[in-house]
Amino acid sequence: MESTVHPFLHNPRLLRNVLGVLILANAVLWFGLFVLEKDKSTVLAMHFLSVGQGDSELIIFPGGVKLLIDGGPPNGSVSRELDAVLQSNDRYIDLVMVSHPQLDHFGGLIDMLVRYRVGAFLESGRRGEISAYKDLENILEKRNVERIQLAKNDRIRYRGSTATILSPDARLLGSTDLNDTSLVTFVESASTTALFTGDIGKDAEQFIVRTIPTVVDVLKVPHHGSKFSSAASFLGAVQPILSVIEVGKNRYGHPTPQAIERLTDVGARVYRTDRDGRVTVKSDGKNLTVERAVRDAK
Amino acid sequence: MLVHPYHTLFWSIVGFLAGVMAASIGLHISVVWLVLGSEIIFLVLYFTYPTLRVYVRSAALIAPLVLVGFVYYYTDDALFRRERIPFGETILIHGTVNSVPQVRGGGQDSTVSVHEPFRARIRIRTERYPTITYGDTITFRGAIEESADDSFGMYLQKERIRGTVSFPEVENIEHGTVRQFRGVLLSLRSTVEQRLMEQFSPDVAGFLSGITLGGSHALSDTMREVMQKTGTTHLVALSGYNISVIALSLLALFGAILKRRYALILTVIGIIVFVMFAGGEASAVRAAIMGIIIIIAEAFGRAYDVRNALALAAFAMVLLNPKVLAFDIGFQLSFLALIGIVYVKPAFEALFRIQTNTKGLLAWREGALTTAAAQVAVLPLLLITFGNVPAISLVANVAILWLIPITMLLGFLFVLCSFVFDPLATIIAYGVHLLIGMELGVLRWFSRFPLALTLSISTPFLVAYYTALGFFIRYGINRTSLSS
Repeated sequence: MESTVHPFLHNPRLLRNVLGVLILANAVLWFGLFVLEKDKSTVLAMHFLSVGQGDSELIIFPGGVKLLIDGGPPNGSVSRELDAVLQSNDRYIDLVMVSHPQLDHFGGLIDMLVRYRVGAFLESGRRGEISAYKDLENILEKRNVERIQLAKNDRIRYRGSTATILSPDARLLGSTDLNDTSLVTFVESASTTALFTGDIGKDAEQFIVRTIPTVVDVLKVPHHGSKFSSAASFLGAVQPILSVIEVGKNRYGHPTPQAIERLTDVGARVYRTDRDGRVTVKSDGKNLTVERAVRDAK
Repeated sequence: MLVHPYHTLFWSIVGFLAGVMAASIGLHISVVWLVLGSEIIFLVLYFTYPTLRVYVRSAALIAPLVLVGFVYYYTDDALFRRERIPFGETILIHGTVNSVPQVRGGGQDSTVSVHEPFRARIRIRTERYPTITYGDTITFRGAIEESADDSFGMYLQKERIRGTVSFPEVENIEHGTVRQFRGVLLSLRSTVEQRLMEQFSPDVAGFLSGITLGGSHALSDTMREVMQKTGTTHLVALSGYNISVIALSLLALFGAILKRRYALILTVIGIIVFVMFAGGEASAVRAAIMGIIIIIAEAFGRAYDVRNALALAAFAMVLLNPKVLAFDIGFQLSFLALIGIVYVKPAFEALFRIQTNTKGLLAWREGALTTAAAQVAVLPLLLITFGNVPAISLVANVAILWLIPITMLLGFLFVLCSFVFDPLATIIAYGVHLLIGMELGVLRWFSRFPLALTLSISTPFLVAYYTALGFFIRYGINRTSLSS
């Protein structure tokens, strides 16, 4: 009588190979799970992405939740930067915020929303006027992303970290200058403070000076280093240790020498994405470290 | 009475194609005189060499076919231009977008099938936003520039496009108005592309999308440059090569469970479905026609029969659109590459006494020889068209080509699984990511050697090159028949 045992079990070499592959796969997966993920639980990472002339910052809070503020212009950069920063199989961004509906802040998100799954979309409520904005709304709808409107005093809390909205209030939200409607986010995490300012100008800056709780360690410089922002009184109240200017090739003269001078005057170290590439600021609660993607920048 | 039908068919087609070519390059009445003159010569030969009567009679009957091809081209062209279009006048135009708009630079290029105030196809270039999609009904105001007779203009004419409009005033766009079969296929294709984008990094997704579905639009500019520098751009153009990979895989798959004949039928159906699914663009359809005719021929005969299969494929395509013969680079490259593989490769085998019967994943000799043969056949055309050929092209292609079929297979498997059982798809994704990551790394490494062969090709060189190649092929045929 012939045995009906599967031929697979009769072939020791095949068995050995398959077993080897399975053990190897297990080793790789468990290693990835335990060793590579360990770092996430206590470190705050703020990546100032190099997207050209535009803003985009990825904040990874201790515990792993990710907040992306702005997506830069529609040149594919934000997707490439995210791919470089995150692990290739990490395709989820918990929160995506648009500070204000200008193309150099939301343009890159149209492509990025196809590539990544997003938990929720945070906005000020001010609607964009250009046709590209409709594309953004279409893709948000198509991907079933929840849209949440934020305003002054709204707060996001996660484990020990908070992100508080300092601006705009109702008055600034209705401003004729779209830049002043920018959502300004104050982050407290891992004993570090940071301020993300969108494109605010003097008006909104003065408003924030009155309500900002403390000085900050890290400042995302307003409006790509425009001379109409980063007023001395604002910087005097914020007093950043590190400042990062998100900027690329442009015809407005960004970043202006006046703004840079005002930053160095308050003792801030100035980084800029056009020269330094992606700037990563990490804090473990005790030390602040800065990495620049372009090592030989002056 | 006449030469064997097998040869008669072949030379008849060649005659017809010669006529089409003559018309394409602008010859007019001279062709008529040429044909008449040759008939007179044949008449003379008929009486002076009675032993050659069979050949002479055949030639005399085939010669007029040159005229047929000639007339066919001009008739087709006249029909193409039949509709009167007010070029240069700013008018209100209403039509349907019937291509997938390509985002290039700061704008979008789309093909519009115009309904009012005339019926024709034109190409429009609009601002990046608002986004246009396939199937939209669009109304705009602008002036149409006629497709010229320069190289880009002829490309447009070959695509049956009468003219172009640059940055017209778009008055209205209505989305999703046309629910054709092709629209359904394209939305299916875009679903697959999006699934790839969701899973993989931009370069990996772009590359995989390119080799499985065709198209370089998903590639980043850097990656496109890398592929240009290594001469591997053909991998992401849905060409005869991709089709043949799919065809051979399907044949192997079906052939394992069904009889040869049914396996063939299913393979042909599979190719048709695939091409429609990848968007059904003209170039893909041509590649499919070629691929189908070739595998049918190879299944039923030796390389000897492939010659007629190639001729029939060319005939079919030229019949559908006479302009592809002279003005479609893809068509020309595919044909030359095939001729290279079918004829030059055996010659290489004979010359270098290489055995290519060794199967297995690392049958690199076979791959190297095939690639070399195709490159040798295609070289002058590349030089004429692009002005230069990357020096490492052969090495880079050999290094990458043997991995492409399995990459395509894994890619298809991934897509299939992601619609059926997603967790399995994620596991497959690991493998795909690793494989493609390696392939891209190899290509990037090769692109660091930007040495290019730059030659200006003159017609005498062209003639000399292909004559030499012809002799080399002859040598190969003699060698093979001697040894076998």
